[in-house]
This record gives sequence, C-alpha cells and structure tokens, in this order.
Amino acid sequence: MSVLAAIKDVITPFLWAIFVSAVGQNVLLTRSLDASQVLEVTEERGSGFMWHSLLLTLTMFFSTLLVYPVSQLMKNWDTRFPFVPLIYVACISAVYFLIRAFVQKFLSRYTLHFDERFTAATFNCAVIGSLVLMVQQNMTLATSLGYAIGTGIGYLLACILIWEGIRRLRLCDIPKPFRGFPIMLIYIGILSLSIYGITGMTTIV
Amino acid sequence: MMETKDVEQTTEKVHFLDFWKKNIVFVSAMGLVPIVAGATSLKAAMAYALLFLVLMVGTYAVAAILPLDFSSAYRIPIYAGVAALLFIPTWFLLSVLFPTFRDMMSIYLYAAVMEMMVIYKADQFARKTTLGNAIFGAIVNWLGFAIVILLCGTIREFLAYGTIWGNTLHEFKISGASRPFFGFILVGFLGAGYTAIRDAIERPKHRAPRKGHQKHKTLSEEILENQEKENKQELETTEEQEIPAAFRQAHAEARQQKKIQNKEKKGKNSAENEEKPVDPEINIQTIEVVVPLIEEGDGAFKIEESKVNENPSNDEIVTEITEVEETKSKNDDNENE
Repeated sequence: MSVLAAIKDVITPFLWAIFVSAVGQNVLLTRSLDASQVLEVTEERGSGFMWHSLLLTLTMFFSTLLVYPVSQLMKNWDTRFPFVPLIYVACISAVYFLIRAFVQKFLSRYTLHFDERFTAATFNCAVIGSLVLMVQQNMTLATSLGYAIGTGIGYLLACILIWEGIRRLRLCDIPKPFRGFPIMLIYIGILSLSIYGITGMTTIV
Repeated sequence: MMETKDVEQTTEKVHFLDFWKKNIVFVSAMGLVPIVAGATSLKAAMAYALLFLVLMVGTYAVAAILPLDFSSAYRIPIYAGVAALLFIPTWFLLSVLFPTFRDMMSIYLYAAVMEMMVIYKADQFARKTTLGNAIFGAIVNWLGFAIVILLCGTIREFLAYGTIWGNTLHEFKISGASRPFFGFILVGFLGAGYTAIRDAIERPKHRAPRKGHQKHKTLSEEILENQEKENKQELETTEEQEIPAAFRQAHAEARQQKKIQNKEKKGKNSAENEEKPVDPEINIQTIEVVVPLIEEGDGAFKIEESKVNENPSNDEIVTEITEVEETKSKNDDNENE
C-alpha cells in the first residue's frame, strides 16, 4: 500500500508535471516566455539550441531546489510581491555561480564553450517565469522538479520545431515584407495555436 | 573578476529616428514577451511601457558606468540585479497609477527583469558608450518598443473584450485575441507592414526614374551629356574617313564578280540538264538493278567483269544512266553549296 501511495502522491504528479510543462504548458508556444532568445538561438547553425536547452534544464532544476524552500518561507509575507524578482534573481545567480565554479574546477576544458551558452541559458524570461508560475500554482517539490525538467524538454521541442521551420522557410518563395522575422512569428503563432487546439483555452496546471 | 584583454570604447551615436529605423522589436527581435503575451489591453500595455522605461534607463546607465574590462560572467547578473532592484519602486508607482495592474500582468511582470531588451541590449550597446549616450539610447529604444506594445494592446483589447481603455465599443468578442498565439501572428503582420513601409520610404533613392517622368537635369548634367554626344559623333566621322575609297571600290567589284561567276555556273548546270536526251521508256520511278558482284571479304564487293555484257539489253542501259544521273546531281549540290 505504501508503494502505491508513493506512486500516487509523488511519481504520478512528477511525470504529469513533466508532460504538462513540455507539451500542454510549453514554455514558448503556450506561455511565449523567452521568444526573443529562442529566435536568436535557432538562427545559429549546428546544435547550439540543444546545448542551450540542456543548460536551461540544468539551471531550472537546481534553481527550483533553491527557490522552493525560499518561497515556502515567504508564503506568509503579504507584501512580498515587489521583492519576488529580486529574491528569485538572487537564487538564480547563486545557482549560476555554483555551477560555473563546478565546471571551472572539474571540467575546465569545457569552460570556454560553456561560458558562452550558460549565461544566456540562465538569465532569461523562461527560467524566472517558470519559477514564478510554480510558486503561484502552489506545486509540491516533486511537481515543481517535474515542471522544471519538463520546461527544458518543452524548450528543446519548441526549438526543434522552430529550427526546422526556419530551414524550410528559407527554401520558400515568401513575399518580401514577410521574409525573416515576420514569417517566423506567424509560424510560431500557428504552432502555438495548434497546442491551444489540443489543450483548449484553459490552463492545465 | 577583471578580464585581462583590452576593450575599446566606441562612441556609436544614437539618432532620435533610430526608434523607427532600428526598431528594437522589428529589427532586433527583442521585447517580444511583454508584447506577445502580456499586453492584452491598452492599460496593461501602458503599465508595461512605464515599467520598461525605468528598467531600461537604469540598466543602460549601470552598463555605461561599469568598467569596460569587467568580466562578462558578472555583468549580466549585475544588470538583472539592478533591474530587480528598480522593479520595487516601479511596482509601487504602478499600483498607484493602475490599481488592478497585478491582475492584468501576471507572471510576465516578473519576467520583465530578465527580458533581453533590458539586460542583453544593455550589455551589447550601453557598455561601450558614454553615460549620456547610453541613457539617450535607452529612451530611443524604449520609444520604439512603446509604440509597438501600445498598438498591439489597443488592437487586442478591441478584439478580445470589445473595449478600449475599459470603454465598451461593441459586444462582439474574440477571446482568442488575448492569447499568445494571436500575439505572435499580430506582431508578425505588424512586422511585415513595418518592412513594407520602410522599404517604400527608402526605395525612391535607389530606383531609376519612370518613363515619361524624366528627372529634372541640372546645368552640369546637361553639359556632360552634350559633351558625350559630341564625342560619339566625332568617333563616327573619323571611322568613315579612315577607310580609303579605292578599297571600297575594289571590295564592291569583287562582290559583283563573285555574283557573275555564280550565275554562270548555275546557267551551265541548267544547260547540261536540258541537253540530256530523255527517253520516255527510261523515265521510270522505281528501277531494280542487278549487278554481278564478287565478295572480296570483310564486307567489300567487286563487280564481276566476266559477267558484264558488252552488248547490254535495254534494262542494263537503264542502270548505267541512273548511276550517271545520281553522280551529276551530287556534283550540282556540292557546287550550289
């Protein structure tokens, strides 16, 4: 009974949160967080967006571990709202410097390549927006961690779709005013609309 | 904490019209989060515009003050921290100006402190310029952003709620207009409109004048054209004079002689054709010829002379005549060619 209860209380919400944040509440296509940076990352050649997504997932996971207890402490503080960004930025910065120090000490040969991406993957709207959302929705720690991992997976899925879209749109004969940025936004809008078609106009979590 | 490499300070001047020419939303693709997701009404758009004015001026100023050789690993967290600090007084200001702004703006309000336009643009532009130029650049960039967000907020409020600034204009509502997918599509179309207008403004400078609408010429242009015409005429006359008259006459005579020779040849051929006796019995279209042949090997054949009649019959004469006619016609063709 205890195993079943554990599955019911911890594992199921954890997996459900991963699925929901990756697909139903996609960080880019449903929440449109970090749209500017996604466009920049997917414009690059090669697998840059994969590294970006991986580092974003890493930051999200460890930031959640830090933000969750802090948010529990702040729960009863009524005038906390104006200070929320400052506290969250402090938590994210702490995680950023810890991971950076770890890489510099144990994985020094990757430092140069790591530094380029890690700053952009840490300080963006997707990270802080997802953390705020977790706290606003009163998620448990397991659900929050699932949501953090799902955010990274969802970011990667969105990047793949956009990257492929950019590749194919370059081969098309698009009217001159729509070339580049406008057609990409319309393409992302249609992708976003398709997800709303699956989930409906309501919020899942 | 300090980088060893030297970083040169650039004095890139910002023009007021850069809010249009280098629009931060349509050209740099920044500031999309508040526009696409946050600005679902004109009031929300106005609140975002005010918030970003404070954040951008603050971070750009700090970026200009920081030493140039400050490590990039620390700069971005500092900008984010400054933006988060500036968020606190702005929050209280907005709560006075827009009492319900918290309900309008949700998570995107907090995400503003890490918007690319606030922290990364400050690092790209303001770090390398003077304090005054950085603040002016922040205002110019913000103006470009504010125009787009206010336009989007107005359109979306009108479509989604049938109101503008809370005043009801119609009852017909499209709830999807308040969702991010509509924001993406709307900004995409606005971006296309922006590109089309900008191109239309810039095009006449590079386009050639239409037919019938000739450009008014200045005096110096007319003088230059006349000079070119005179030079062309001179070149033509000198070319004519250089060819000697005797050479021309000789060339014309040679042509005439050639023509006469060709005519004579043609006349001879036709006369030969006319001289031939035409036997009505011989004039048969299909003639079968039997020639005695001996195989020499390797596909070669030789006429067997012993079997050739010295006194041929009428049919045998026909074969000889046809052979002669064929060779003649071939020769005529060659001559004509």
